Amino acid sequence: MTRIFLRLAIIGLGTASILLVGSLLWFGLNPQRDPAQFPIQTAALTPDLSALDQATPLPGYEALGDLVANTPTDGPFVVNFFASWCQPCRLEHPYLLAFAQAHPGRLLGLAYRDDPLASAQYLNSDGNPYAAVASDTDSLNALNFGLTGVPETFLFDTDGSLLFRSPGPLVGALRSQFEQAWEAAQP
Amino acid sequence: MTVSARQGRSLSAAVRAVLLFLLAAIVLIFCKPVSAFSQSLEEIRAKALNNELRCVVCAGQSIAESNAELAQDMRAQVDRLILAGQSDGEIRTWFVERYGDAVLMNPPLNALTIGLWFGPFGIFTLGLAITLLVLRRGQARLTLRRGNGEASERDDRVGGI
Repeated sequence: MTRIFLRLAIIGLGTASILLVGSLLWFGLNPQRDPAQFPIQTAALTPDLSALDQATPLPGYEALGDLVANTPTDGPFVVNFFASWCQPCRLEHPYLLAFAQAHPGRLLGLAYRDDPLASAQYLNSDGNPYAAVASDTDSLNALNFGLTGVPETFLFDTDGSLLFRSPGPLVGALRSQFEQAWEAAQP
Repeated sequence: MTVSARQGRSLSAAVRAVLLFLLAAIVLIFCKPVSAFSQSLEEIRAKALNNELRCVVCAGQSIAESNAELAQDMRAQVDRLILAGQSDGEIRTWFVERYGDAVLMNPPLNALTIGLWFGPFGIFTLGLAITLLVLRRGQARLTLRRGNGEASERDDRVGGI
């Protein structure tokens, strides 16, 4: 009796450990996974927008410098962190321009750790997709939002609650996830 | 003549005294307190919190260890929150609300991480139980063999070598 039980136990445990090790390897050696990527659970996060008024206007974009006044109150809106020194930002830039054209007034921009003049020159040469844009003074908003790098895009509901967060450029899978979240957010 | 010479001498002595005083003041400015006890409480708290918070762009480093730009920003934020009068717990919560539990170097004990905290003990207990069971089974087999006379046969063989 004990012998049968023991044999079953050994077979069961053997199978379980093979499955465990196998699934760990499957997960750990997946080439799509970046182990340095910081794990984000969007649902649990509560970024705060209280420092939007402390951003510094960009030279030539003073009229668009007031992020608070330009935050839409009648529907979802998007805040995009960028920098003139950031190469992946250039990847998503054409999409941001197209998005802004399709949804005017919905996209706000914050330049992260960038010289305001350099940010302004970047927008001058590559086009400005932002309905309001300013430089993030002392990275106050970056910290308030829980930024992990640039570019990063935050989709907010009308009440300022976070709906979706793209921890990288809006290309490929992140773009389609963002578009789904945007569609779902429409009132 | 003698009067002006004396005056000049006393003047240069005064200048020398002033210069000496200035030199001492400059040296004192650059003296750093050597004792840990002279650190402010805020500084000690900031250092402890910097060691507890993970740099979110560095693999496995705290913001105290990293000099990434974001880590610098996070350290500055810790300082700001301390100066704003927030407690250590409030500051930890502040970061968790924005970055999630993963921002803490020590994962908190909750439903999601219970396996992480107690899994190893569970596996150890399981291993111990299996070992004991296998040992007892071997013991039982040995006594069974002894009873059948096989054990004595083997003893002879071993003795014969």
